[in-house]
Amino acid sequence: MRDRPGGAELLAEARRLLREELVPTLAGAQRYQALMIANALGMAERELLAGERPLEAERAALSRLLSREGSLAALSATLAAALRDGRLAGDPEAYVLLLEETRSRLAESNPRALEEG
Amino acid sequence: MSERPGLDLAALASWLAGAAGAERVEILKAEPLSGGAIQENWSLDARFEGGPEAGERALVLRSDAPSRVAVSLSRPQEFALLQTAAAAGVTVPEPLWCCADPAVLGRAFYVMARLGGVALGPKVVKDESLGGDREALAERLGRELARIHTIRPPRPDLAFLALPEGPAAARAGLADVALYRRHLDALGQPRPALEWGLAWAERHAPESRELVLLHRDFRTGNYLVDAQGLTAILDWEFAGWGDPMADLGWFTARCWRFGRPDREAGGIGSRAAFYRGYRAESGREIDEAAVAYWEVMAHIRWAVIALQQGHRHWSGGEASLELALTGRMAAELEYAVLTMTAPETWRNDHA
Repeated sequence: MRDRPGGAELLAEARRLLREELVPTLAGAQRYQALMIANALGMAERELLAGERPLEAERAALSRLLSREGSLAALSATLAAALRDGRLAGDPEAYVLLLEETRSRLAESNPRALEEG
Repeated sequence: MSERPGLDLAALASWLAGAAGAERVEILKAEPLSGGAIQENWSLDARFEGGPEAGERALVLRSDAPSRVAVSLSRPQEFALLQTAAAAGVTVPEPLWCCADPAVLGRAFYVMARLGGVALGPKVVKDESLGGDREALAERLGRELARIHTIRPPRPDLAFLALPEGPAAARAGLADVALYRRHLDALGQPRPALEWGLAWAERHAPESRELVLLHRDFRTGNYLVDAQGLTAILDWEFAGWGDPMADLGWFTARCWRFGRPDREAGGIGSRAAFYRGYRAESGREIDEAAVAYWEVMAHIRWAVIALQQGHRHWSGGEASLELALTGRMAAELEYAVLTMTAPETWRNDHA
């Protein structure tokens, strides 16, 4: 067992402290750097909370689309090659998979961009 | 950012005196400017004694950075472009002297006049006290871009810029598709969402109608404005020959609107005002379908650059949180590419 608070909880509190207490006291390059750090902490926190689930879902979806088994890296490379050589270019099912996979990555890296899109 | 090598001020002063025909030059101040990832910039105050430049001058020195993006031009080439652009009536910082000899400062550099103003994209977009009337600024930028596009090959002074050949001469988009695929291969990480966009771009590339000088990074963030308006078009290191509509699409692409997607001209004004200035100065019709194509390409290109910057961090070459976070912008750019290239937008004749 790991102790509480866990990694995501620690990152959330570190980010809150940074944004609410430190950032308002900073200006110029230091303020910009602190905001970058808060951004990085948020991304790491969301990745920790999501765990391996998005990667497993992506691997399963790729496996269904391509009708084959394999690691996520291998299946992803297969899809990339099939898009480049035209076999799946413009394919609606490939499109749905890509849209969902990209949304899931964006939910971790920049959820606000997802709301605006 | 990474550590900057210092400037040898004695060597610089002595070289400047020779270049400017002065008896003596004193560097009063030399400060590193927060610069690009590709080059480094120094703000200089210098006193020239004797010769045509006698007096104090505010200068900027640009030199190559330790790690350069392979696609960018060298500083001496950028200097030649600035001279050409100035002669074509483009508002640029006056190019003064160029030193291609690495023996002087350890790397090639050039010196130009330092102008007032702000370039930072988010600030230019948000701070309404900058740039004067925003619709007038959008129109002015359209005119500036049209002036850049009056420069056409052949140009012996720009012989270092390769002319497109083969199928890429007929459809400029195809050359870019091939280039971005090579960049992705070099990164060694499959990017299916970008491959989707590149497959679309390969099938929908418009015919190139003209060959002109493109700035290729003409966008909010790369021009200087003060309270009155535009003071200079900056960052010429990606310039090259190509289709004029590509520059328009880069400027109007949604990814360069800095939180103001409603202002389609770079987050600062209306598309109509930008187009009005471009049309008035160039006399050229704007192919709006081609501009829309180049807006998709803009997102693909920016995604590839973002991945390259992220790679510079995580490959261990150059630790930087800024580079790391830029790399993680790829997802939002890929998402934009996908939303612009849904299956129903693919033309049947190419499917």
